[in-house]
Amino acid sequence: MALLEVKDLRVRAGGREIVKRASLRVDEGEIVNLIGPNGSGKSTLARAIMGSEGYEVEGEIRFKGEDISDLPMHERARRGLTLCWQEPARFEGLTVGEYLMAGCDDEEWARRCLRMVGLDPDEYWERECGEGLSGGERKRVELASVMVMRPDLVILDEPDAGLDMTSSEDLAKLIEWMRREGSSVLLITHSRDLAERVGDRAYLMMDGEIVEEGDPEEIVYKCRMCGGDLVCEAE
Amino acid sequence: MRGGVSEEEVFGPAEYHADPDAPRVVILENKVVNVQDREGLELEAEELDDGVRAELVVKEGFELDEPVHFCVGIPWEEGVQRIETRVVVEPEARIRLLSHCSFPRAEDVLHEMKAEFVVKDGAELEVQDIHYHGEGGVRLRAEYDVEVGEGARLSSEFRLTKGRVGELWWVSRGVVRREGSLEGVVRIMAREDDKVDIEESVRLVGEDSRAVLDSRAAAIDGARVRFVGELSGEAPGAKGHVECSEIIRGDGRVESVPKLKVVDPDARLTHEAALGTLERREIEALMSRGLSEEEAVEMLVEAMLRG
Repeated sequence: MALLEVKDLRVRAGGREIVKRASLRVDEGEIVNLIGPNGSGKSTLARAIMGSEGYEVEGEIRFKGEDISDLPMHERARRGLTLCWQEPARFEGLTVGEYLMAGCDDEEWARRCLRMVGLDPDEYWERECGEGLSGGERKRVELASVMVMRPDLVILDEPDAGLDMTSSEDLAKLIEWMRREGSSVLLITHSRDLAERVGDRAYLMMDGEIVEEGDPEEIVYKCRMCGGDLVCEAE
Repeated sequence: MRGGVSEEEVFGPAEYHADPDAPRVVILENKVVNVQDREGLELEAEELDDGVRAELVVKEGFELDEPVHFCVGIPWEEGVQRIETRVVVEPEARIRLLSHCSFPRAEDVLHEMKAEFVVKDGAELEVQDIHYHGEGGVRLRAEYDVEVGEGARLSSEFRLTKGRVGELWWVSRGVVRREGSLEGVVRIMAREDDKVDIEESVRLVGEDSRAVLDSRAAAIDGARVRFVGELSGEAPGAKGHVECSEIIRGDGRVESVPKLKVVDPDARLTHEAALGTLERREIEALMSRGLSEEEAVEMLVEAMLRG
């Protein structure tokens, strides 16, 4: 069953068309990769799906069969859709525990999610999200914060960007854990290693358009053939 | 819970009320309900024709770890409360004052407070003043005169971050003598037609005296906040700092005025002011976890005011 269906989406911001035409689908239990070079419109597409302000959006976004195009962001989240932001906010004054508990009412589960991203809850729960965390730690908290919601679908926008030490292998394990816990995943990445390690299917996005769908390795190959500048861990 | 605010926040810590011997003054509208003093303290409260006068004297050298509790308020919709307070902390004494001013059902309430704090040489006074004005708001007029003696220390914190403000007018004047220090912290969240007008001034008249005025306020959806923090450096080695950090949301307005006056060339005064709006991406990050925009804003503002 399709969880997320996006049809002929066009997204404009600041008078510029950033997403020219995008259609994709994520089924229940699937991990789907959205691969493309920097600047191809992947993050804009993710924010438009989530309902971020400041975009003119045309086209159709259906979640669990419901047209959510006109819903505000929090209503989309309450229906089981969430986004792990590429650049986590600093949240001055807010503690890690408070941020995590914004998305759920089960502290034990929230602490477990924190442990899953490699942070000891006893040490980090009361830490302040702004001054109290490094950039890499903040990114891990961001990853934990999506999982505390037990979402039906999580969009991971460049989850390895700014992450302090986790290798693509560890990150791939974490994404598989998300699936086992009941979340489907739309993984946005321009990391070749990550894209080849996880994913049942993949889409290729180039210059604001989704141009191919296929096996993740095949899509990575096509991306490189098209001159797509993917990042490799070894590089 | 009362309107999202815990009983503890309205009436003070439960364990405090459970202790019948804890020092306290409880004033309901203009009636003195309870006065409980302690050896080393002189605590008196007297009903006047149109209000209450309360006086606390902390005897020389006396130190108390637990706070003296001032619990004042009006638990019904309408009323006028006038309180004159004088607190004297004698030399080398140390005390903490926890004041809860609670008006949980206020619709038409006036609360007037005239207070004098005298912290004598080598003494320490810590004042925590927490207000709750319900969802109706209160007209609050407060006037403080503060004197900090040689080597003495006063730190005060005023907090009104839950519920509505109403109209708040507050003037505070302080004098700090040689090697004395004063710290004044204000945290306020104002919404809709709330109005806040605060003027704090401190004269650093003694050598090596210190003062910090630190205000944080949020003006949300039409609220008006004006803060003036004034320091005057009048002695060699005097140091002071004014810090104002304000958040505006919707059509809220904030006027933040740090004023510094250096009379002695060896005094050093600084200020820092930051006015801004909440970051959209912080609001959206919380919305993507299922909080409405209003809930997200409230959470962020409360976090900002906590510091």
